[in-house]
This record gives sequence, structure tokens and C-alpha cells, in this order.
Amino acid sequence: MIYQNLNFTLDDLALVWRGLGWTLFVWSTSMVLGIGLGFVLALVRHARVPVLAQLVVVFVETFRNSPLLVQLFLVFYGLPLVTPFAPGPAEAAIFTLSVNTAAFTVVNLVAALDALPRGQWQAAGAFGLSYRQTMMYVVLPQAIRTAIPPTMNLAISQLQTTSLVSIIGVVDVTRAGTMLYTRTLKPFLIWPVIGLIYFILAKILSVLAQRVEKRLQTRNTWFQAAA
Amino acid sequence: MIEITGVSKHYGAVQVIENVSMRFADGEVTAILGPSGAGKSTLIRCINCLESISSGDIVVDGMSVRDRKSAVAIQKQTSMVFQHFNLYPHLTALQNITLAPIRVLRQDRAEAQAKGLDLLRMVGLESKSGRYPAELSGGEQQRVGICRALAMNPRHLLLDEVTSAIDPEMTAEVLRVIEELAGTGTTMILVTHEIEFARRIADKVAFMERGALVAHQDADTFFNHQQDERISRFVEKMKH
Repeated sequence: MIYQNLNFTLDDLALVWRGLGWTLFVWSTSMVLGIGLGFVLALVRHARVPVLAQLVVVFVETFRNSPLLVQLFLVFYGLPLVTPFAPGPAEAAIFTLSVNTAAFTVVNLVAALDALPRGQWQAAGAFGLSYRQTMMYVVLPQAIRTAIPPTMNLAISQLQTTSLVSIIGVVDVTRAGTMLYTRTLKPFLIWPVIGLIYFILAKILSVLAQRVEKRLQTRNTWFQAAA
Repeated sequence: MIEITGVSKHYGAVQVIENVSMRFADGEVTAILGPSGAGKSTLIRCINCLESISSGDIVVDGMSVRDRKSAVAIQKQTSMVFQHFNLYPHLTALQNITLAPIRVLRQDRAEAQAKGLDLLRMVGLESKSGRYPAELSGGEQQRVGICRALAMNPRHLLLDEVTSAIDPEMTAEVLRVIEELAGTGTTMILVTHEIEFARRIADKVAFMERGALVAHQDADTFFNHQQDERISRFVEKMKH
């Protein structure tokens, strides 16, 4: 008999439950921080602020085109060697996922800003609105709406990506699964359950994303009609 | 008064406006005619500081467009109505009209909204103040565009082919609104292909071709005593 002791104990369930809490905490915190940072960097990039805009491009290209696991290792193992900061697993995970999310947010938002018809800028400029006012009242409300669907997709993808933080020692759902597997050696019991947890979370997010997209669709149609 | 002196504009090697000089007196209605690509729209965009000029100068009420600090002051006095409306699609008709008065002129919101509703009433759209641009027809959008321009209490109104992007059956309403505005003391410069309309409302007519100003005359002289063969041919062609 290969498979024995098929039942989870209450302690095992508690471990997975705590892991789920960490997964959600790392994911939600890094999404909030990453989107916030990405938003600011996108504005810097779009405004073509000298030097800073070029630095943003370097930042985006670096974090978009290198594996997240390598970024995690660099932050977790490398940062203490070159800075006075020695982040713990959760801090390193949140920091890395945040900057990674920020890089993709810059791409999404800059694309949305660039997609806005030139006439919108002219209509604002023609009536004397300053750059800041144009961004605030005319450009960003439209660009943010355009950037919402890709950002929702990014959020779903980053949720799956959080599983990598288990490698540096964050006891998330995946790490909880690894610990249970190591103890019981029952891969076909544990990993489908862990996979199902991610599936359910992602499904909830994607249903939410679909609803948001549907609501935005009508408005995006009138964007095109009026632009 | 708007005074254009020796203005040229080029995009790289392409000359769009070539040494144009003309003067628009206060309260005067001027129609700028000419074939497509003549530089008419670019010229009025230069007046509104939406485009920079390569040489020469444009002085609006004593302020030069070359002085970057004057740009906002000029834009406050010269409102623009666009060919493709360029309404803000995420704002309602009334919000489109009140945005600049509230943010640029620092008008009280209630006051700006009351004025906006008055303007919408004037163009027959008061009941549609809460509609978004995409919920309005082309003609209605353009009338909102005119209201948006008028809400700034401009001394000068620049109209850039305001009927060319709307269905023919919708143009009459827009032209009626503009006709009502003519003679209210606002300087109007309109780029148009509507020859008959220009004949009806313009005090003066300018004709541009390939970036150059060919004629700038009284409407009567332009339409009834035209000496230039090219212009006569153009006017005849546009009538049909």
C-alpha cells in the first residue's frame, strides 16, 4: 500500500490556513505597493523627466526581463552583503514582488497613456488647463480605465507567482504543501489540494476581472465614439 | 485684436504656413477658406498656442504667442471649437463645459454649472446635460463643443471646420448656433468649407493655398467682385 494516512489532521489544516493567510498578505501588500510605485514611475516616464525617465526605462527592462526567482535570490541573499539591510523572507518577498509588479504596472499605464487620442491633450491645452490639471481631470481618468483590465490580469498572474516566495522560506500555501509532503510523502493528495486553493483564488479574481471589464466595455466603446 | 505678422510654420522640411500676415479686428467675423492642406487649421491652432510658430509673430490682445508665459492668458481669451469635437468622453455634457471655467478661471462650481446650463439651453440641449458624449449625435456633440468654448467667455472664438465631421442633416443646427453668435461682439475666425455659410455671416474672408495667404478681403469684395481666377474657380467648385 503506497498511500496511507489519507486524512489531514487539524494541525495540517491550520498550517495550510496560515499559509493561505501569508499568500494573501504577500500578494495583496505587494500589489498595493507595486501598483502605487508603478503609477508614480509611469508618470515620471510619461512626463519624460530628464534622467529619471531613462532610469525608469532601465528599471522596467531589468525587472520585466529577468526571472522573479533570480530577483528574489538577489534581494534575499544579496542585499545583506551590499547594504545594512538584511530583510527577512517575508520582507524580501514583498519587496521583490512589489518592484516586479511596479515594472509591469509602468508598462500597462504608459501604454494606456500613449493610447489616448492626441485631441484630448489639445482640448485640455486649448482651454488653458496646465499639465497637472490635464493629467488629473482629463488624461488619467481615461488612462486608468484603459489600464484596469491588464492590471487585473497582472494581479491574477502575480497571485500564482507568489508560490515562488516559499523557496526563500515564507510559509505560504506552497511552503505549507512542501512541509506536509516532506512529512507524508503523498504528492497526489497534497499538491492537488494546494493547486485547488490557487485555482479558487485565481477564479475569484478572474470572475471579478470579467465583471469589471464588462462594466468598462460600455464606457470604452464611448471612448472610441467620442475620441 | 489679433495680429499675425510674417508667420511661417514648418514640420521638418515641410512648409505648412509661409509668411502669412493678417489682422483680425475685435468683433469681426472672418472665414478662412482654401483647399485641404492649405494651412488654415494650423494657422488658427498657432493663434491658440496649440502649435508653435517657426518664425514671425502672433499678437493676441497685446500678448505674443512667442512668450510662453502668455500662453495660458491667450488660451483664456481665445476658445477653440474642434473639427472632431474632442469632448472629454468620461465627463457629461455639463461637466465638459464646466471643467475649464472651474479649474482655469476659478469660477464657483454652482455659478459655472448655471452658466453651462444656460449655454446648453441656448443650443437646445438643456435636457441632455447629464449625457456622455457617446450618447449624443455628432451635431449635438459639436454644439456641446461650442458651449464648452463659450463657457470661457472668450474674446475670440476659433472654429476649426466645425461641421466637416458631422452628418449633413446635423450641420444646420450647428451653423444656426454659430450664426447667432456672429454679431455678439466676439471675434470669430472660422475655417470652413461651407461657402454659403461664410457668405452669410463673414465680415471678411481670407483665402489660403499651399500655406500662403492669397487674399484677405471684405466678404462682399471676395464673393461679388473677385478678381483672382483661382479663388473664383474654388468658390464655384465649393458651391456644388
